[in-house]
Amino acid sequence: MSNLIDSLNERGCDTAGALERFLDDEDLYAQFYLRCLDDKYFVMLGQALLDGDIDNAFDYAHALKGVIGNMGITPLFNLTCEIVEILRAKTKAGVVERYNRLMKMRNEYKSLLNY
Amino acid sequence: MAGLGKGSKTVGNNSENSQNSVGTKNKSCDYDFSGKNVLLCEDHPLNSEIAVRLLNRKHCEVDTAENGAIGIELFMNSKIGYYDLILMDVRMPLMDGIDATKVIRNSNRADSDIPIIAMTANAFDDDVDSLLESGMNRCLAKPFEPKELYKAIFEMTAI
Repeated sequence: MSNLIDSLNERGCDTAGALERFLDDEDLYAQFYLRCLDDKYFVMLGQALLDGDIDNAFDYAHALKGVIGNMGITPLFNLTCEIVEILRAKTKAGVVERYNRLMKMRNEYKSLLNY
Repeated sequence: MAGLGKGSKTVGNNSENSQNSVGTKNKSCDYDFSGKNVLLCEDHPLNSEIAVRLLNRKHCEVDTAENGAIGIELFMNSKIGYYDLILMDVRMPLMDGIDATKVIRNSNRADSDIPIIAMTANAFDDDVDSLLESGMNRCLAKPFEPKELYKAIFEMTAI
């Protein structure tokens, strides 16, 4: 399991802070890590953006921010924060491009579990 | 209930601030909340599970609610004084943490002054003041550090 932790650390993630929330149980962290990256709000955010539904998009992005923050996946968290702030301002400027990057990044992070 | 009074801000995920606010690390590991009952209002199951594990680690008994409306229902149906503290997420579906807090504070229950700690991912925004004005006593930034959570619970429930 330390391969995952090492890989996350190399990418600037806050695994130390996250593992503290998981009582330093790396296996438990890995379980939640996968659940986080499979969170329904990733898809729901994309659909809301397609629908032009900024209010719901904000709620979904905000929920993702909280979960991803809990997991200490810092690069993904930072990108989600950018999306949240754009939507908070009730605009969509650049948000779809960021969402596409978010999904691509999410898949890259999911692939870390295969190492 | 523990001495409440005016709300206060507890800064969350900033290592410098957390070092300033917690005291010694050893002390944070010594918390034992046996006999304390906490109502956790948090809509995301993953976040809720993490919080429950952290609370159980220090022997808290925890009931969970996935939104403010369910939280109110659990609180209103509990015996007076059963819950020692409420951890309240701010953004939740159906009823958010602010409205839920107002309902609790305006209830006629003898324990309507129960300590309520807000949990928010936007603790540095201006709306923190509005959280405190709604009747919440403290604000924890998410993701919180366990020692900050424990310290806040200790301070809010100590007699």
